[in-house]
Amino acid sequence: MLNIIKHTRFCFLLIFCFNVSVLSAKELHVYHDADYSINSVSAHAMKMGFLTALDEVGNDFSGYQLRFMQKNHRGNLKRSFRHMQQFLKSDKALFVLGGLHSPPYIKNREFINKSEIPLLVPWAAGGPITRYPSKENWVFRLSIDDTKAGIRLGQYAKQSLGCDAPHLLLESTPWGKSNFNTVTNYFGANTSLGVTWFDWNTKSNVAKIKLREAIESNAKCLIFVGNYAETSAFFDAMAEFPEHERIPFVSHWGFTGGDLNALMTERVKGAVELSFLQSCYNFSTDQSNRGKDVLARAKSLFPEAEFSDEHIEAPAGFIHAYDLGKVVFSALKKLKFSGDIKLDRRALRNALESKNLYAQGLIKDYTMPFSPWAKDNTDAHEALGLEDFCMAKLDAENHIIVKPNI
Amino acid sequence: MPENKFKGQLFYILLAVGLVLSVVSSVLLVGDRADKSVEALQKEHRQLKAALTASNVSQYVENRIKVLSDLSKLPLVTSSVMGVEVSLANLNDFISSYQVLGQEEPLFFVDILGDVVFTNSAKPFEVPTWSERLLDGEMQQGISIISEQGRHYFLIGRAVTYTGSTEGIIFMLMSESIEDILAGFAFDQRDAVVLRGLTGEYADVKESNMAKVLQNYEITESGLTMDYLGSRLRAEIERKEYSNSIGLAILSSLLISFSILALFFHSLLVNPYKKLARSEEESRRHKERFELAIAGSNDGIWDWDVSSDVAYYSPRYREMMGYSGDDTLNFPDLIGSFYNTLHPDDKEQELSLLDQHLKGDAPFDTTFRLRQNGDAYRYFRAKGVALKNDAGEAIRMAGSLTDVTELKSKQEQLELARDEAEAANVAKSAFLANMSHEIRTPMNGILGSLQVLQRKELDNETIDLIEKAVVSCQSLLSIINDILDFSKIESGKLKLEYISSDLHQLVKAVFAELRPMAESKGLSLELRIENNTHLTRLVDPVRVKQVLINLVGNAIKFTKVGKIDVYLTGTEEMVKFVVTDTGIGMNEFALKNLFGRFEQADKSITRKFGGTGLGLAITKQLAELMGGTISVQSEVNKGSEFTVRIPCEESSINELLETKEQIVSAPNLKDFTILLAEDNRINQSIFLAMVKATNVKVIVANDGLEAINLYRKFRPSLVFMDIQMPVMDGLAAFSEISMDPDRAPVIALTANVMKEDITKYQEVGFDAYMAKPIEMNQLYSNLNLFLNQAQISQQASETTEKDNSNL
Repeated sequence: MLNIIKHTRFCFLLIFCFNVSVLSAKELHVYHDADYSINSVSAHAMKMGFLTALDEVGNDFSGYQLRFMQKNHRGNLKRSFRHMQQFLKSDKALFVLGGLHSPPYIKNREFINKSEIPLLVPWAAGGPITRYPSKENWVFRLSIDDTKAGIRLGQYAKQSLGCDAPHLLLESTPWGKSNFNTVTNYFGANTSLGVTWFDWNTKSNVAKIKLREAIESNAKCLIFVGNYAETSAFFDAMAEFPEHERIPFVSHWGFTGGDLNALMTERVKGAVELSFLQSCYNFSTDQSNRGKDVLARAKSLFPEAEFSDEHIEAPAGFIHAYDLGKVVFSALKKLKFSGDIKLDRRALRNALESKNLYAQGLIKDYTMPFSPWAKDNTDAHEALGLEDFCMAKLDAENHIIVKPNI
Repeated sequence: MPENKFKGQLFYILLAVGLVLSVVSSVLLVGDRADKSVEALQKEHRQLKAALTASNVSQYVENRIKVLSDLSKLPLVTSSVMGVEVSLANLNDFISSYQVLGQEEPLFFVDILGDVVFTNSAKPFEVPTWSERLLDGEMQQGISIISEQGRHYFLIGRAVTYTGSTEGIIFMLMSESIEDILAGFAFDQRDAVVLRGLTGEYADVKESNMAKVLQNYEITESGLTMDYLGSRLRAEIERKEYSNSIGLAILSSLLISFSILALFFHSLLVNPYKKLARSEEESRRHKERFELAIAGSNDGIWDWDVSSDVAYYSPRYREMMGYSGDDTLNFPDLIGSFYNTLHPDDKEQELSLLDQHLKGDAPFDTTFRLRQNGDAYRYFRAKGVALKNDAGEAIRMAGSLTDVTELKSKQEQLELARDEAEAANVAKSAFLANMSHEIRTPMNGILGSLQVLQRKELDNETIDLIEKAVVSCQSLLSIINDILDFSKIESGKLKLEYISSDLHQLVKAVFAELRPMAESKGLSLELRIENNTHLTRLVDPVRVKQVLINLVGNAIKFTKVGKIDVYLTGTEEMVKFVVTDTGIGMNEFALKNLFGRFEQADKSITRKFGGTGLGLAITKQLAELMGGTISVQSEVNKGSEFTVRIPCEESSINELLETKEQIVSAPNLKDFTILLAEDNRINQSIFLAMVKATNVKVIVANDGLEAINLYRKFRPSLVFMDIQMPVMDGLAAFSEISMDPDRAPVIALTANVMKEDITKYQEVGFDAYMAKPIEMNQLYSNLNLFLNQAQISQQASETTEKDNSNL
């Protein structure tokens, strides 16, 4: 919580700096449509990654400066939608940086694309987000893709845990649904998987009932798809079961957007065996200077944020936003802005699909990360692939330790 | 008394004023406070009602907000408003049968954009303006009041939150109208409620003049406020009613209190006070009366403290004693002042009387002499009474002193006069007795002579003359008897002797007696007796006859021509004689005084007809003595009618006494000697002439002493003793003779025929008495009686003696 406050203070400071510096320059706005509430750790991680990248490339794009606008959607699709509306009304809003939640972008996909809103997604993993079936696809992702995440989760359950028929515990949202499809596809029609759906705002008492359902199905593990709030409810619920009844969680990465220290209490830590999905990058294991330089820059930019040498909170958010930032800034550096915001958005979109786009990221170097979408090219707007997805665990200090893929 | 009455009235006036003041002060003090209290109570009551209403409304609304709040926490709802389509489908199923507190209510689920994402109602719904504030997290809930067809409904909105922030709103438009809700709370319809939501208002203010009891009262944290208004008019009316009730209660309790006070005062103060006043008044009047009486009586008052020498003398006392009223120097207030003035001859007696009174119960009422200042003694009457303590010792004595000198002198004069009158009366009686005696004595001679002559053989003319002489004599005796009777009746000495008598015979005897007189005037006497009249009656025949003789005799006397009629009738209880004449009659004036003493109808009558004038007076008195009445009716020159009524019982004929007169023949007493003590020579001769035919030997004594001597000398068989004699009277002589144990019978001869005389003779021991003039028959009867008995006893005695001598 303290971190949030510190970051918030820093943001104000940053905005102030921008204001001073752009007195003579033109301004373009970046809307960060994210959950700055319960998932604020992820939001801030993304913000820091994005701004660190911006700092690295320099905030000057053909005389224009970017202004980072925090738009807290609180996980609410409607808020997110409203942000989109606001965005459309603005003549300075150039693109939207997405947040942790997939549903807003899945549900509003049509609107986003039709309204020609460039949406860059550094976290939300929902499969349909980037798969708007049109050339006029305005959504680009540098993150886990659920069409592949389910495979990695299934693989992990099967191979690492020997869990041949995991019970699926999924939030009753399009995100949950996309994972259901992926996982069941992975296990095949011959394997009957138990599935339990839960709504947002599910509390631990209801979670316990649902867990009992899963445990009684004799599943050896759970494949869990949910966000921080509900994850917390289910972890607490699991801790209430006797030890011999407890089964391991093989989780999507939804909870990593929140405060892991608050989530992983000693009681939960002792009771829950947890493995979860991450992109395959670890500051601690990065032997190159790049990672160190990025961390150093971030530390200098955000002196109030708590960074250890190898660890950062919600690292996926930082890493993806940094990488995505590098990709976007690379595209922007090549653009001449018309002053007509609609045209400039389109110019950006087109630039992102450009064959010449290159950027150096933390996960990898990106050469033509995006291409125009086509039915036979459903991953056209996916910057990462299955190979970039790893499983991770938490160490004793709740630091995320990414395991290399086997 | 009027003063006391005034005081009593004054109290009641004060009481009334007190009551009025109490009422006024109560009204001023209590009234104001009561007014305030009532106002405060009303206020409190209204506030209570308001609070209750507010609480009810609040509870009503909050219960539903809580339900909405619970609903909003459902993950299904959260997901739905946050845009999860799948959840929305589930919500549809869930809400279709959802009830809010048992009632299916229209629910509207609104997303963060203000759009209704789901509803179970077909009603059009407009999202209220304040929903922005909910969505912005400013509020968690809100209420509007919606007006629809004259009725009002609550619209409640509750935020749907997710991870601490509002993501949507559930609205509930309550199907129960506010009007019904308030009615359900038994809300006092006379009051008014104004409910204001965040938008919309409900108000049912019926009066313009209403007091705000609650203003902008926040019902819930949803922006619902309430004004509660009470009717000022009704409050005023209620307050007035309360005030009136209180006033009435005060007034009635004060009235009761004052009534009780008045009653208490009346019975405990006024009545005793009145009694006291009355008693004071009484004693004042007593005192006045006493003082007046003393002043009026001219008495002196004294009051002596017995234990000391101190005495009080009233001013009048001193004045009576010849000192000025206040001269305590010369006549000090000491008992000694009294003793010093007491006559030395009275001292012993008075001190004794005083002592008796002080020590005992003897009354102290005495007369003594006291010396006045000028040394002259006067008579005083002192009356007093001693006051004694419980031990019976006199401690104080008071009384009055009256100058009775004048009274005493008058009393002495009266006593003298009385003595003189009594002496005169005695003299009169003596005179009467004497006169009677003196007349009878010569009458004895005349009548005796005539009676002796009647027994001679004489020619008819002489016999007739003698007869007339006898009648005249008897008439004269009758007059004398009248005089004696009257004096007897007057002095109450006449006694009646009731015996059974035949009234017919009685009247006939009267007629026989008076016929000669009537016939001499050519008048006829007629007797009529009413048929069936019982004629045998228990009467005093002598007095009845006397009455008739008087009436018939009078009638004859005052009648010249005509007749005298006697009518006799009777009832069981009385007889009535009516004597009617055809005489001169009487006028009214004469009738008026007819029965008075010495009265006749006219003074001239006395001269003309003679008479003592006692006749009718005696008749009336005799009639009244017998318990009867006498009345008269008369007309001048026509005649008179006298009616006598005498109450008497009927009796039987057997009781009749033989009254028929017989001529007793002379007994032959030649062997007997009798003694006659008589000082009058003529009477001696008459007596001797009367007894000559008996051949008895008569020894005559001229006085009592001689009689004794002769008695002793001749031992007569019978003694006739006159009472009034010179030397020794008959009584003394009889006394001497009665010393002889074997004395001869002694018959008193006396002209003193008054009853007491006769009784005296009987008491002294005379064997019989004979009135003068001597009736010859009576004389012979007595001679027969005593001497024939004596003869028999003498013969018997002689026989006995002979018998004894023979022994």
